[in-house]
Amino acid sequence: MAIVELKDVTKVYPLGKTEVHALKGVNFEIHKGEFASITGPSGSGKSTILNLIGCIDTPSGGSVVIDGVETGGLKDKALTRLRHKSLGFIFQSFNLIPVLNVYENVEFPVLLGKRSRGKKEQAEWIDYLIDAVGLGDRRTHKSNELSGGQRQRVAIARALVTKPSIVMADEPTANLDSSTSEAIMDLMRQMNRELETTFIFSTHDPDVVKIADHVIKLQDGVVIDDFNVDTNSGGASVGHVQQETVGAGA
Amino acid sequence: MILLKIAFRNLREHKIKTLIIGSLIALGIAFLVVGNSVIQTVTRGMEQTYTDNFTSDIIFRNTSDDSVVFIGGFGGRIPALENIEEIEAQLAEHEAVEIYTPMLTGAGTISQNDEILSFSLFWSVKTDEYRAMFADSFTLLEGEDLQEGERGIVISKAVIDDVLKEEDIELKIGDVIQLASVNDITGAKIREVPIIGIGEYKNTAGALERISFVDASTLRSLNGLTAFKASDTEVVEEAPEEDISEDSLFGESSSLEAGLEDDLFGGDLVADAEGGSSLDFDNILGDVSVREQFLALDNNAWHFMLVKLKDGFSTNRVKKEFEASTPLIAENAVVENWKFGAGFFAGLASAFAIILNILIAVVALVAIIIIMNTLVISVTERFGEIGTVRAIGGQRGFVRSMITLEVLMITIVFGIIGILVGVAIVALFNNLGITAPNDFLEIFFGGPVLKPTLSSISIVISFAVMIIIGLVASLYPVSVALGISPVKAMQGN
Repeated sequence: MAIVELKDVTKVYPLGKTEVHALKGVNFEIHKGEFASITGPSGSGKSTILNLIGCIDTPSGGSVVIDGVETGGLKDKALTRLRHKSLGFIFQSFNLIPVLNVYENVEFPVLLGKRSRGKKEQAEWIDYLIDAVGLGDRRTHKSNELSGGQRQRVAIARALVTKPSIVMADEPTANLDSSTSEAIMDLMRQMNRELETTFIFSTHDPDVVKIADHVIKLQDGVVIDDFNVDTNSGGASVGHVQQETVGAGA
Repeated sequence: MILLKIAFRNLREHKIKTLIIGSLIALGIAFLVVGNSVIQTVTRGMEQTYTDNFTSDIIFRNTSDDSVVFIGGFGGRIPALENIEEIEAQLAEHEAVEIYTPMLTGAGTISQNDEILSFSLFWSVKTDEYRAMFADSFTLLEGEDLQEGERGIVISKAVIDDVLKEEDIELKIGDVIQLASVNDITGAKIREVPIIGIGEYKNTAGALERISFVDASTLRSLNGLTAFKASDTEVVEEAPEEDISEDSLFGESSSLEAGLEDDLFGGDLVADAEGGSSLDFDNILGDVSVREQFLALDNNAWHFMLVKLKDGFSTNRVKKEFEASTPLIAENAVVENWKFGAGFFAGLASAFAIILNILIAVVALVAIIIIMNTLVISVTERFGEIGTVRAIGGQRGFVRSMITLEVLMITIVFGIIGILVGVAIVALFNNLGITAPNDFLEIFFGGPVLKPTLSSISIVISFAVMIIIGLVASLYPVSVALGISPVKAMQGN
């Protein structure tokens, strides 16, 4: 079951008197529970695709369906509601609220919407997530008292706190050293398996890509490869899909 | 709760910015509290001075002329109150009215032996009622006060001193002087009166040091307050001819066609002149009864009715009641408060209040610009944070509340500090007192030393103004914050 579906998606940015075609007709699907990687060199369109899937930007053409909802034509309020309900975000620069401590940062997205769980149940869930990301002894620390890896762990817990269908991670290891990167990716993978939450992350690091079970490769705004990896069979790739460019000449 | 937490911690986190904005707010509020307290003390002082000594709480005046003045109507004609008996009857029944008394005003020269000595302002009152209303406000230095029906003047000490200084003439009790004035009805008038008393007001606010009390008959004459009324003329002109009886107007032997001239100038005069007989100078004008009727003084003419209210009744409320619910009064009189009596000086007090308000507006504008700029910088520095809030599901309303709450919090916290500073300054001024450097300012200070007192309304107003300033200053930064796209979150903090 596709939880993310992009059909003929284009994105054009104005740049002075010219235009930049960031996406030139992108098609792919991501299924529920996948640990999907969007990869490619800088300028290939990774961030643009994440912005579209994350409902923080709208396509110039084509359609983006998230968790069964066609996002085209949705107003800001509805898009924000969709983000809150169905999406979690992990940012490259962690983006924690600096004046809040670990617990408050994790709790913060819950407070942005209507309370769907009891107070006690909510507190237990937050405690579970903080323990799960290994920060049980850092609950009351502010973000400036944490290392980069610890901040990203807080961000992972925060992304999961509303129990979203999809967690978006934009180059989640870009600001981390290699050993911390590996730990963070392992944690994300662990959460993906435990909670059956779909993870979609962008990266240009081949080592990070290896951990994904679905890889979408981009180059110059088009998908040049889209395949699943059978992690049970030692990483053999299956179902390669080469796509054609729409809007030729763009 | 989370909003309060974020707002408070953000302010604490950015101490310098918070202190800059907060200091401005505190200074602004302190300025407002002190300024409003001083203005209100001055206004209260002036009101107290005037209502206790000269004007009472409410003044009724004629409706027909907007240029009516309370102190010293000189030249022209100040119209008397219409239907004064009915006004008195209504005042007698009103629960809020403690005492009321009528008054005449005027101005003119004081002469002796055909030499103009000085200028004085005149008031005529029913002495007993007036002195009861303004107990201890006027001091009789020599002689006696005017009694009912007595002709004379209780002359101002300042006028006596003036005459002595300028003319080297010492006016004394028993001297007869001439009062002269001009009015529209009877023209120039000179009346001779004896000086029966010399006195002075304790508080000489405004031009009151030159007030002399003259008997009502003399002042009516000087003012041309005759029985003739413009409305009488209108009735004659507008009424159907058959309704007018010339007999009733001019006497039985006259008629407009045949005998008006005879009636006015006397038939005998014409006959005698034609017959060549000698002129009868005693009757040269013939029957002047019509003229005399029109020029006869109206012995119940008064310019104003001063009304003192019982304790506990609001002047403004009672004034509005009179204006709204008493048709007779509304038709016959304009209801004024002490400011009408204070005239020019009340206007100056209002002008000072306006100047203060302009200063407040300038301070407010500067405060708004500085607060707004600081907030815009603050918002700009928090693009990533605000973008993150939007990305993870914060609606625009949340961002709006986040910024506005910070402004409100800083306004309230530093507003309270500002109020405390303002209260301290007012208390200091109250303790030390601000000495009036001249007589002119004494009028505003309500005495030689101004001791500003704090008024709760000035605190409330000041606080409300600062909240408004804070909210207005936050409008643009909020709009900048609302314009931040969640994409900013992806671009890093």
